[in-house]
Amino acid sequence: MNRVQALELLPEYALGLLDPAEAAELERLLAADPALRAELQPFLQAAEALAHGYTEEPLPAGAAQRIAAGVRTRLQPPTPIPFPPPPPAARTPWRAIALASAAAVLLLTVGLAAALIAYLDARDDAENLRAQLASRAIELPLSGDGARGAVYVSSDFSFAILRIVGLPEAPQGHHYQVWSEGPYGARSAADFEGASGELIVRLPSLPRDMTRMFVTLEPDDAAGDRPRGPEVMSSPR
Amino acid sequence: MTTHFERFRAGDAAAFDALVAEYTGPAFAAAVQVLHDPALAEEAVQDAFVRLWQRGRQFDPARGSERSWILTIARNAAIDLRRKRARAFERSIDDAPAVYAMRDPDDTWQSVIASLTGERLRQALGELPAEQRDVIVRAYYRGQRPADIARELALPEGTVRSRLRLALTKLRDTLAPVREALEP
Repeated sequence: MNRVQALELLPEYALGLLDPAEAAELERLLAADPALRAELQPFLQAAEALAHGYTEEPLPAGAAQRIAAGVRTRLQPPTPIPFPPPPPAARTPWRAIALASAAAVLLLTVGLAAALIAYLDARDDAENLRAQLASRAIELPLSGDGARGAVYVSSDFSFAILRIVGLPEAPQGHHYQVWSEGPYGARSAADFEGASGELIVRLPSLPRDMTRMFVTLEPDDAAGDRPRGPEVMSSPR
Repeated sequence: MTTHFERFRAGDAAAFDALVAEYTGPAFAAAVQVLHDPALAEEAVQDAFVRLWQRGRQFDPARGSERSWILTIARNAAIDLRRKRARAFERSIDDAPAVYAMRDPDDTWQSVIASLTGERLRQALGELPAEQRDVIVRAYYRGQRPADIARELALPEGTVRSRLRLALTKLRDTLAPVREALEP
């Protein structure tokens, strides 16, 4: 997209009519061209005014209740994705050993043997569950215009790795910033320059209640406390 | 007076239910104009409120009004739903926040918006030439792209684009006297 084409698309962009790829491309130009951004302002202002022109109509019967209930349901914490259980580990033959011992010595009571078996079985179960827990890293796929990748989050959210392919180097005076998003809003996780090949960035601990991660193109003078530039990649909402 | 949205943004999650109740009607009006189907509009409004929950705290009052921001999310959710059903796009269009991030803070314009009523806006629309008003209504309230409008009206796409650009500029200029009067 060149500047003339970008100028042509400003009204549609202001009205939110561009498809995501077009919008992302235009946003990259806008981020690097203050004059183009100035051309956009009157269209954005007109669009904002148009939001005041809706004529409310009576809602269909029960619609308000259905909408409120639907929203509440969808905002419930998501059900954890069931992970397939690991292949059953061969259990140490404590049961046999314990029973053999009980039979051999004939002094232990049946109750004592049962307690021992229960304890040892529970310990094996605990080890299996811990192994499952350790394997539950989270993968958040990221996609954007021509770029793809993922954020791999450790099971305890203590660290994560961002891996991206196809994100070009940030334009002069800009950098990329990766954010987590949740009920707390957007929180910066790291900033980085693009690369022509594969890019791997180690991220610090992430909030457990995050619902999405995304990457923006930020001007270098941005404070970094909230996104100011366009989103170039995002995980699914 | 603190609004439900301001309370929600300040971290009061309980205010969200009140926010949903407050904006369900206007959001439905925005969605049904795009979708022409009440059941689909309900679905789009649910989508919009879920997005609002996820992204509401990103709202920057310096860059736009609460009402227009929320209704833009509702309208975009409706356009998104329509596109998904038409299988035209696999990815979602973005919410209001990305477009709003491109806004430069303008206190004077925000004063205009704060006092703008639906009646005044409709009056300003009524002052546009009919062919420009038609294009702006189709593009904004029905979420149609210029190519679709051109097809329906049997006009060259370039003509529709020109009309849209002129209509937006004139609409903003029609509201501009109010703006100038507010400037020191």
